[in-house]
Amino acid sequence: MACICANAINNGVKRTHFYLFLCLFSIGKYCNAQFDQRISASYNEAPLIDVIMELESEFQVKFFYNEKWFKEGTVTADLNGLSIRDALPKILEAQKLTYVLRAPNYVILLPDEGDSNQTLTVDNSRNERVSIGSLDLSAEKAKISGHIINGENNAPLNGTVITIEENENRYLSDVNGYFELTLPIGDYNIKFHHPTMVDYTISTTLNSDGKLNVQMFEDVFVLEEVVISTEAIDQNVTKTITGQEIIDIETIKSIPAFFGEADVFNSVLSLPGVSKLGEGSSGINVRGGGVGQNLIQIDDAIVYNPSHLFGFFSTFNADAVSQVNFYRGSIPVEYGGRLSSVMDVEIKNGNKSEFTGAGGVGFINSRFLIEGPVRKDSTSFLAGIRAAYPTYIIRRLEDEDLKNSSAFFGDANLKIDHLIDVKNRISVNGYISKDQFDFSDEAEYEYGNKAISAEWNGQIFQNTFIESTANYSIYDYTFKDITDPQLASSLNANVNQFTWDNKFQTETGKHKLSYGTSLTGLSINPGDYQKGSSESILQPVSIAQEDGWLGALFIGDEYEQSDKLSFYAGVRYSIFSGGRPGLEEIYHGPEPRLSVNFQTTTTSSIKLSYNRMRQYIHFISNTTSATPIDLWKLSNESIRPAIADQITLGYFRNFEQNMYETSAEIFYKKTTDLVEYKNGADLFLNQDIEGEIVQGEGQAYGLEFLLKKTRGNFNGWISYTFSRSLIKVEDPNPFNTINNGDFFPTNFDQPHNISAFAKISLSRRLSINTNFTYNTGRPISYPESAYQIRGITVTDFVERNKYRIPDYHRLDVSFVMATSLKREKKIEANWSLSIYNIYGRRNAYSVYFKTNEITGESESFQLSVIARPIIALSYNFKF
Amino acid sequence: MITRRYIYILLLLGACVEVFDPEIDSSSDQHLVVDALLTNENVRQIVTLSKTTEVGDTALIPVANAVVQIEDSNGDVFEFVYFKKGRYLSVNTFSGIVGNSYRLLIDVNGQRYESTFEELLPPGEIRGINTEFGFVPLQEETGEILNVPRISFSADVTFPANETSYYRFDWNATYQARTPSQGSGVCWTERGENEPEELVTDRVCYISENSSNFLKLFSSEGLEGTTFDDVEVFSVNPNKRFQTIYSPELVLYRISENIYDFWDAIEDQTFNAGSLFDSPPGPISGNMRNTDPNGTRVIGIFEVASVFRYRSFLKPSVVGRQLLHYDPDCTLQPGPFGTPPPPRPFSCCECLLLENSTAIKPAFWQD
Repeated sequence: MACICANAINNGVKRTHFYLFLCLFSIGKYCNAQFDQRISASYNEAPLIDVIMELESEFQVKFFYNEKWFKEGTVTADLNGLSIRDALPKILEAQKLTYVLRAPNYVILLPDEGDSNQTLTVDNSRNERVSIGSLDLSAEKAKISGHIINGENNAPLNGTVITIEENENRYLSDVNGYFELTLPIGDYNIKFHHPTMVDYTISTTLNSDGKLNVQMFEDVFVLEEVVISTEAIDQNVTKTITGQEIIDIETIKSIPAFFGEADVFNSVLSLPGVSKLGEGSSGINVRGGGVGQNLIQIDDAIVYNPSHLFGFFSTFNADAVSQVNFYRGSIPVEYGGRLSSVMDVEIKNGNKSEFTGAGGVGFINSRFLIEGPVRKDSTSFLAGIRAAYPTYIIRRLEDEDLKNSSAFFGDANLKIDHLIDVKNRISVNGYISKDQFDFSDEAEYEYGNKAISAEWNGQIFQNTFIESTANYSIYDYTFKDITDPQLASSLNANVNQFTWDNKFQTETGKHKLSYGTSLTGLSINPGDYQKGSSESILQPVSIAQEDGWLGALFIGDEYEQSDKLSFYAGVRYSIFSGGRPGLEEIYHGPEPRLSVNFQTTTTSSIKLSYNRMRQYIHFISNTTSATPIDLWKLSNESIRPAIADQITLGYFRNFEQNMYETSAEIFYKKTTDLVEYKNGADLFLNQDIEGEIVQGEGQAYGLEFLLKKTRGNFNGWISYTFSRSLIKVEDPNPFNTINNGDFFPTNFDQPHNISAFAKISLSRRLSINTNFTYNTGRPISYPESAYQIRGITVTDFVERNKYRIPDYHRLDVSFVMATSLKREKKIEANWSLSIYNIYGRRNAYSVYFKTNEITGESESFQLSVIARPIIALSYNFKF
Repeated sequence: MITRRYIYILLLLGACVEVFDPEIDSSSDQHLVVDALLTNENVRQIVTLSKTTEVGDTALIPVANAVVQIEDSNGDVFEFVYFKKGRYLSVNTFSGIVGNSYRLLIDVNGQRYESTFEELLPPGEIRGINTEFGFVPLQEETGEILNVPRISFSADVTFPANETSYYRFDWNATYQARTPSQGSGVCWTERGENEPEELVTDRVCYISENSSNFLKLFSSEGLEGTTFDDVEVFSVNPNKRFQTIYSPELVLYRISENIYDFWDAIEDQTFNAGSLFDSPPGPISGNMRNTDPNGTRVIGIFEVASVFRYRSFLKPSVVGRQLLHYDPDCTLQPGPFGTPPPPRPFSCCECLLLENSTAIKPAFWQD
């Protein structure tokens, strides 16, 4: 979706109705029925805004306008018996406004007095035609210039392709989104194309030199609880890359969340093919992959542990997030290093024209974010912080140990964005997250991520742009056990990563080339175990540090052969060197990527993709759920890199002018050298962890369906996924062969997954959001026999993951109520009441067997992490 | 450690643990289970052979028709004979010799099983027993939490320098008991057939108790020096145990690393399961193998261990006098209004009726 506006870029008005009505021009046809409804009302000096709201309420029509256009005058008219269509001229008579009707039910109000000297005018009689400049009969040519920006955050959109359809000439916007082109006087259709935005075409009449500022949007955006899509052909159908999702901040915020805290992971989890093992488990599982197979980045800097409080919250402040790019199918060549998915969290650029902010106060945590200009129009900052304060709750409990305990978690963002000149822009982003928990003077732990990234965007040739990024990330944890002074210990471990990426983008004709280099330095300190007190008799242990280098060259080309057929083909060649001292090894190989989009109609397409990914760093975790103290380990002579080949075939179809999006995708993924663990593997401070690991062959396949309603008072989506994730481990040593060398389910094999989200706008103030999740229970091993040894009853687990825990399902609901409907309010605020697990389902996290120490009998138990509804109230605001 | 602490946080969020009855395929084959211990004590060594049972069944299915031998690294073979309940006793008493290695050989139903050779290592040492008295919360069936008295026993251990040594603890105890109403007739109104002919009013009994469902391991891995104090071994409710003298004996078995790993896996899967971050359970491999790679599976352990025993005689002062004669079973409970109090158990009037009781003073006893 795109829209155009006069002087819009820096006027500080964001998401006003003014933008929206222009965006709606791309909707094609009138819809008569809605506007032929008869009115039975008369008005006497009624404020126009009241009349509009009454019509909206009574006839289910939507008005779009800029209130600034409204004159002081009122409406005095007898409308009895008139249709809406006939009544509108009377209503607007005193307002110097005209209107355009658009399907399905939109009434777009427009100022009736164009200013030919303004940057842009709209010729209402010709609907979508824009008149540029004043009529100058002497002129033969004229220059159109302007800026193209992201309508969501005012960020300039460099690399936007501007095509004059009449002569097929193409131009590119620079790093500031600026473009300039000279054309003979006349009428033109100008098409704007940007890879992350929806294409937009506008009809213009070029009279003389003029400015044309363009705002582009993603396919959908949310405005006052109404989701509007303006494109006849939506991105889900037209994009060549399959399996890519762009999740905007409004979607993230609208999904009911644990303790009411908007969470990036929640929105990703609602996508088909994405699941997690339950409450209290960190990370996500994508198309049968483990949590360590996802590349999670914040402004290009990697985040090794994206979870607070062992997985209950993600470490990303939703207020600071611009959007989340999530790839699970075809992954562009600039990404590598993980097998299953890429989650690229983009932090907003600060507002360059005025100070704005947002925040929220909740039951367990609060947050605050402020952004604004450092130097108007060129430099901005964004600073955000989130902090949780569960300690006051913990200390109110009766348990003496808990009274002496404390907990904290939080995160902070700081971003500086600076436009150097028209062709160069730099930004620096700093990020920190921390979790801390002290238990009754017995144990303390803390863990956290730190990341800093710097990015330079520049135009180095007319049609070539560079994006150079340098970033440094560190994840570290400390665990102190001070229960017994003799055994008091302190364990520290960390993962450090430095990456320098250079990505070039060149557009020539129908080709869009991406190519570049990536260089990553990795350093892992697997564990430094020290005495935790002077009385401690523990022997300090330091596991040898592992270092490695990972380099990659990549090139990819997105080629649009015709309106119906487009390709994306590329290859990434990666090379790794390093590993545990003494076992260093070099691995390298190509990672081809291919994607084909065949658009069968204007509203449907078939996509096919193939991907190869290589992963040289392994997540070592032998527990049900990932823990903060799990290890990362580099490939070496004994541990080979894992390689995944995935093929995806999908059919995408939209209905009702993109109101409904549907898709069906099937995928098959084969992975070699997946890391698995021997029975009873001991990973803690193990100097020779290679001896505990076996590598097997993975196999995942599935079918994913999605139905999405993108606009209206009732919108949302439902997805269903059937998938399997299996692994086969055969080892020369028969004792290390698992389940007789047959394929068996991985820990995260959950064949059936249903995810549904609905947003119901009851009024302008009140909306209800609901979220339902269903998963087949995850695999688990049950004992099939028992035996007595030394008087102890021991259960015998033979076959790994043969059984399943009970199925998981949960319904969450949130009610969001705006505090005020005033349109000129300085602070927009709402109250959000969320109920997580509304029917109090005791979803099994695990089933375990334990011998009763008194009776000696083996008993089985189910552990449910959240066994009741969790109700939370939060107050959210922005200014 | 971190995982156990985390459970407390979960409770805040509404976590819940409840009994669950999963459907289990119990049609799997029965396998041979070996439970064998060879020590450096000159006794008739014991090997117990049984079969696996269905989950939830605690009965032992004995295997009686096996040929059992222990062979040492010098080629000497020690024969075993079947005794009862799956137990095979060595034909003669013998003791393992420190420095020698031993393996267990079993022939049964045409299958031959053998263990790896296990070396008998020099014993560790317990230098002393420490006690600590306190109260621990215990949840009643009603959900009420009571703080019950508990006395715990710990050992000061000495282990060899410059090598990692591995240990398994066991314990037993004997205590003197005088029932509160010894020799009186308050426990019954009419004499029955099974009651002692004569009630001796000054009888002193010696009650013995052994560990049950007990597993305690210790290793010097990662420790500096040669000593470690206060390895908590077991705990009991003081109640009637501390009327006069309580004599616990701690037994320290020095074992090899792979035997330790076996017990460690059993401890994890049997007693420590239930945290959020459990490792997936799996089959526990001992040191027994079927000589035929395609033969039937064998479970269990041939444990070769040198033994160090340490006995202590503890007086009531370690507990606190207020609990000296507390025995809830023999405390007079008031009956419903207007009715006489119910009779106390017979054992309150005759200590010989207590379980594992004898009036014969043990040879090791020190008053």
